[in-house]
Amino acid sequence: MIICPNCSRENEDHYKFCLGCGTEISKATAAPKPRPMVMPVPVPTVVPAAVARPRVVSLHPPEVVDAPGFTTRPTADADATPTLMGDVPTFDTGDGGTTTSPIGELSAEAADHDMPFDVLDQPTPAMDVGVVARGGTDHPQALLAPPASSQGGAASVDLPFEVLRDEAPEDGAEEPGRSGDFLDASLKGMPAPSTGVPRLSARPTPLAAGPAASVEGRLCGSCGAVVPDGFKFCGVCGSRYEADRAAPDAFVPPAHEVGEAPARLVLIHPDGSEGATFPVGPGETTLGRSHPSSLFSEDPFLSPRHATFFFVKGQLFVRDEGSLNGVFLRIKAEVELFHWDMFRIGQQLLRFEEMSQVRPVMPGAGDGTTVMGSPVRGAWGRMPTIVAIDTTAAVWVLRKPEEFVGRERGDVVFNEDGFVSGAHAKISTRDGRYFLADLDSTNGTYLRIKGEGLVAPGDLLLLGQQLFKVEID
Amino acid sequence: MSTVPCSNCAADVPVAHRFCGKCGHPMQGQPVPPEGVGQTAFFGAMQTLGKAKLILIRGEGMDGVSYHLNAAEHLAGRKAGAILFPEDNYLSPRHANFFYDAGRLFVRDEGSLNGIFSRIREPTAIRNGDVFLAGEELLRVEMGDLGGQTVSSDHTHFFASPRPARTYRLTQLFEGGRSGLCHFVRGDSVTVGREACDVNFVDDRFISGRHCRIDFTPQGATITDLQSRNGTYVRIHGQRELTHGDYLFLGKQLLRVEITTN
Repeated sequence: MIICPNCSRENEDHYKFCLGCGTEISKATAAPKPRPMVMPVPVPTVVPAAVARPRVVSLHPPEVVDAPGFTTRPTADADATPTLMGDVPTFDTGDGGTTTSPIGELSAEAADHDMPFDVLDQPTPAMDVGVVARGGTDHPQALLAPPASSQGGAASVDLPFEVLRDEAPEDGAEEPGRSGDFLDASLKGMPAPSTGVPRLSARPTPLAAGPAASVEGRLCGSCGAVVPDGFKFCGVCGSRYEADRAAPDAFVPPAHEVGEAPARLVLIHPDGSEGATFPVGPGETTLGRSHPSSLFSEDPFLSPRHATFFFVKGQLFVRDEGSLNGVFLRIKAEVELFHWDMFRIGQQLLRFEEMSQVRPVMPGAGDGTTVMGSPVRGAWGRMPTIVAIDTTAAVWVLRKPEEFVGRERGDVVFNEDGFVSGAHAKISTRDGRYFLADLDSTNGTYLRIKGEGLVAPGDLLLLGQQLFKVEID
Repeated sequence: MSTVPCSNCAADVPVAHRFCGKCGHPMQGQPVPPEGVGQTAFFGAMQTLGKAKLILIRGEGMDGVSYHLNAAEHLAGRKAGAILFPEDNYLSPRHANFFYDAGRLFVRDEGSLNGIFSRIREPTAIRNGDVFLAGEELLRVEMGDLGGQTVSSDHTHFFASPRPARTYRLTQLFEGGRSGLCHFVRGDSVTVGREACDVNFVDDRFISGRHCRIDFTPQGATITDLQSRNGTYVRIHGQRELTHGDYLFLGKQLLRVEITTN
């Protein structure tokens, strides 16, 4: 039992947030915790007053969080593709100098099913103007690339690298060279450490001028805590310190000033207030943990290359770069659900599975014997909660034409999740199709974009733990 | 062909045979009556008092049919054995074997796909992974840790649902091998039924309102039937002794065990 320090309510030991007031009650030393999605709506019982993000100790002064640095970019990049990823190391190098690609690091779960991502070689303007243009049956013309192979690694590596080479103007380096470039860049301008591990404390970045910068150590890439030299694991969160987890170099302002950018991402704080504004230029803008902005680099829930924003005929699209946690869009109208779609309700990460496509888990004997079991009785879907990579916990069977999800009432009840509204969402089927609708919930229902999707002004996007409002001129 | 009645089951056995073809009783030493000499025949094989029988309660064919277990062993299955249900696709070709050992009747799973389910008559210990039938529902008891990675190989943390406090759970198994619902138990006990239970199957006509309960401890679990109308059946491991009044599910076939001798 955990007593909430804010409202004194008793909470179960595993609760991360107080059921009564939403205050984070988990131990501060725990591993990074997802920040629940919170919308700027005046419902104090649901919106937590202050939900801490998993930054424990940072070499950056706190105000860097909102990263005002990127609001000023003095000169436009001469290159025609001013991707924000263009002038920084793009990939983490694995230990031992192994260069990994985002695709190769796709979770087994993502690689297992059909559409973990799609790569659009040439953005197709013929896309529907639906809320979400997703891979699969509805927009085949937009999906030129085949699904990732189940191997996940080598077979799929080419695509993102092709994309990267197109975007990154600074070199045509091959993959192995990239890792070397990265290390060079990391070590540039600082004394060569005897261990060969970049020492962040010596990093000559003006942003690291805070008092913590004098601490002799490195930054944990997961939680931001200082890891003393010689330690292999972070004492705060237990993550293994990796040489490649060096914090990025000093942030280079983007090509376009915020005022000139055709679109902007406005950070929405947990209390609903607006924070930093991130410009989205007319070219491709790739965000991720490897982005130099501390806004992104300190979010352990962002993949190194997470998502790319780009314009096609004046419309803004976002492409999931095979990220672990995906890009989630808050749904407005009812949206159609397809097999293996993922969505978020409160703190829950859920998946829709069309029953006819669910694969057996109990093998047959191959002798004509049918596997015995409960009658399906018209069930049209399954809905698991996802608690780890490729790991599900509770599963609901969807059987009625309309199934309601809520904290207090409905067919699927999350009565321990204070971020789920009493009646939150509805999952339904008609005419052999499946739909998800939000029931004017406080915190919204977010659908993961498959491949890429159209983004409209005012849309709310969840990348990692960052919630953004989209502004488009 | 000249025959003699088996001294055990009274079946007609050709004279030259050394064992009764019906019950396996050895025919050696039996007096061979001379041809033409008058002999008294049984009215029927079932006239003999058997040792045990199975009565088909519900399933393929004529309900109420009895299968007399008068031999040493009796195979049941879809393609082989004296207890044959050729239309029941839930049965393996060789499914179960009813046999005697030291005068006691046992049933043994012959490595069948779907197993043998025995109706519990008292609170019964079950293990992680055991499956049971309540009404038409096939449920698996699971207690192990869920596992699962939360950090990917590129050190990105997975933004997932909160983990349940306990790992005790029931997983529904659909016909055809797909899994259905999965209920995580709150506390140490879970009730299953049609309504007002922790896990409810409102569309199951054969499940009772409150059907059964499973109590968990770190060491294992116990399943208790809550005086349900149709009973709670647990899949047996390997073999087990049968007693008078036992009920067994083999595929769709529900059989009652009646032991008539000791």
